[in-house]
Amino acid sequence: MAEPAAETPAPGTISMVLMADPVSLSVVRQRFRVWLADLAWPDEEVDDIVLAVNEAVSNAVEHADAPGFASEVRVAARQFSESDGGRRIVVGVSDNRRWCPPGVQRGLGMLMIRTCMDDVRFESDHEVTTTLMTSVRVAPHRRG
Amino acid sequence: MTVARQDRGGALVLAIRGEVDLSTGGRLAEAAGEVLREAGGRPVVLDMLGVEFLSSSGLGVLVSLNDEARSIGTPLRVVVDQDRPVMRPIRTMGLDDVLSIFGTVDEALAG
Repeated sequence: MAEPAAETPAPGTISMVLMADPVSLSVVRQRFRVWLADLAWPDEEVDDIVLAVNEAVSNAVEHADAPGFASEVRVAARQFSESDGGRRIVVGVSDNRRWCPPGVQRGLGMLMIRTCMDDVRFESDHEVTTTLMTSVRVAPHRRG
Repeated sequence: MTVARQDRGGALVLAIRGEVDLSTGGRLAEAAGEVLREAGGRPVVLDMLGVEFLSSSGLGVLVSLNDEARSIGTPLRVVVDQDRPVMRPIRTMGLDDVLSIFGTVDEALAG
């Protein structure tokens, strides 16, 4: 089988740049649902990933200096397999604002992310804050 | 998200459909807040059977409405399909113990 062309995203990855505006939320949810369905992700775990991504993007939108066209939120995710074939999704959500995540995470949104994902961490670098989330493990994808 | 209001059996029923998130939660707060203040002690039922997605901002709206309803002495009843994705965030946040939750509108009307 031919290798995908260079501009074709690798299988098992997704990335998008969104306006830092609440209207972007339904877009990101829909794109993740379609992508995870393609990866044959189990329904309940899809709901959890979509909930967590929605909360992380909501945080980024709320931290944006100037909501709308002037600010962007970048979302990228990939599937990875563990040595025994178990699978997880890693998602990064970045905004172009340096905000310091509180040492003790508060708020319903952060609680939702922590409940729906196995691991959450933050990286702040210059003018970018990234929320990095790792999903719970799901069974290997059985083909055919 | 759409909100439709109906007076039914001495109660005010607000049927909410679609997705409740950061972009739509404000409209829900406004519409339901108005109904609560008009209810004058009559029960208010939030029919969320048609809700496909509920974010933490939507949960925050439900908690505020619940607090307001208590303070003005109006019963607020929330109808949620137990199997749908909406119940997951409610349980996750422990709000199934805070909100008055019912499985059908008829049950909510009966109290």
